[in-house]
Amino acid sequence: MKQKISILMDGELTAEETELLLGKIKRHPEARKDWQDFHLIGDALRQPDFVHKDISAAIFERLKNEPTVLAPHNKRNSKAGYFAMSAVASIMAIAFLSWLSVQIDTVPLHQQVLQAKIDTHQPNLPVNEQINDYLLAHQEFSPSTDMRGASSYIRTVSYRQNGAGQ
Amino acid sequence: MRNNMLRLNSGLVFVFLLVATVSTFAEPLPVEGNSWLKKMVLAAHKTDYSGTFIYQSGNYVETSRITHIFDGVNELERLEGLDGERSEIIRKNGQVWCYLGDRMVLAAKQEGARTFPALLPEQLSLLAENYVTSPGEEIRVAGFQAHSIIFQPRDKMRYAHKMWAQSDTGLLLKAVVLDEHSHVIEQYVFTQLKIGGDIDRKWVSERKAAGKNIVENFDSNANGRSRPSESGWLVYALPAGFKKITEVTRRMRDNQGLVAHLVYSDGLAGISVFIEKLRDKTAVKAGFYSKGVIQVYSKMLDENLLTVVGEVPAHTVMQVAESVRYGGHQ
Repeated sequence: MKQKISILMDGELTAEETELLLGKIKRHPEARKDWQDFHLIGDALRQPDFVHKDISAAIFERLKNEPTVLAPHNKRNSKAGYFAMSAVASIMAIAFLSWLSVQIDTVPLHQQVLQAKIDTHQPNLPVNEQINDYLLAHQEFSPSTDMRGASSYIRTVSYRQNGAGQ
Repeated sequence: MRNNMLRLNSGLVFVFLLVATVSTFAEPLPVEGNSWLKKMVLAAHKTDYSGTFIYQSGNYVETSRITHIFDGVNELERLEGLDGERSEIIRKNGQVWCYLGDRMVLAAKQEGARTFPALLPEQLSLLAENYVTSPGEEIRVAGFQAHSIIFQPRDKMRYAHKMWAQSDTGLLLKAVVLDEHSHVIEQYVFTQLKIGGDIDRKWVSERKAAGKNIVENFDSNANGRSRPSESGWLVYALPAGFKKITEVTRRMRDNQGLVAHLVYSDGLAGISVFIEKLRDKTAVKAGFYSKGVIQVYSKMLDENLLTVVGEVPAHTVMQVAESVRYGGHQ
């Protein structure tokens, strides 16, 4: 299963296999966790500014253990009150963040897959050797060529200048 | 996944119908927009001009020179990159040559070339179905008084376009493509332009462009040549608003096999679907490529390589790519 998920993330599964596997991921929490872990590993490897991690479970656990203080506010102890307030603010902030991550998690899986597929492209990734040929052939019939003539071919010319696909 | 897609489609169709109905009542027919569009297309083909323009997409900026001449019968055009390595495109009606390394290569040749495609009535009606056309401000661009037109898409399957045409001739001076968040995806603007008058024809002569040390390679008989055909390939879940314009079979450089090329349009944006039998699968990298407004997606389809190219958002290209099937008999 883990291997399959890894292959899926590389975008190398067929449409039928993808559908089957996504069904499994939806049904099995363990597979779902693998799916999230793999994404986390991938994110960490790419060294982005932020790494997405589902911390909501840990926070709810901590919150359960927090005592609920119902004592009246002591005016003399204003410093403690200040700290309490900032603690509440931090917890709120963390809760908000975890809520955000939960929100992100609720994006339907098929959209995540689409996103994952789309995000894999890099500016210079050659689809294959002939990409410039496809671009040239496309421009021939594109309505934009009607509108601005050969200047619409700039997309193909500039592509070659990047040195990709050569 | 497929079910979701269908649901999404029917949802979009519904929204589209709703918008279409509402807009039918809300606004008069964009006759003015249409006449500007016709004027622009005509100007692009019939005007003599020469100028320098800047193309920008993301962090990428490039300067190019363009010369266009119409002698009453033929259209001659030359596009020359002014930055970095030498890059050139020469166009004579339906034939396109491009400069590759040290030689000019015929990249496209349409048999019975449409020397003058102009804007067909059905294309205008497609455009009206998919975009709300409205006039924008009048402003100066590259020293010329320009009239701007906004094409707002009626759904999320396409981008928004804004164009600035020279008030007298209708020649396109500036064009911007925007995504659904109104972020600029790419823009193109003239910084210097000469319209009409005395434009040196040498600029667009093929020989001059090719230079002295160039091996002429125009005679590679089948290269880039295309002819109308029916391949039997179909796009089942074609995004709403797109119609098939034509279908050709062509040979491409470095590829001995025939490539089926299906062309779709929504009036403003084009989508091309290429299908070819594959001999060497190891040479192929399936994947996604994006350059400004252009998205390219390649994948294997049994023994065939499928490539979809379009000036549309990534999800539109994906929808087309995922729904290509063979429906013909052989």
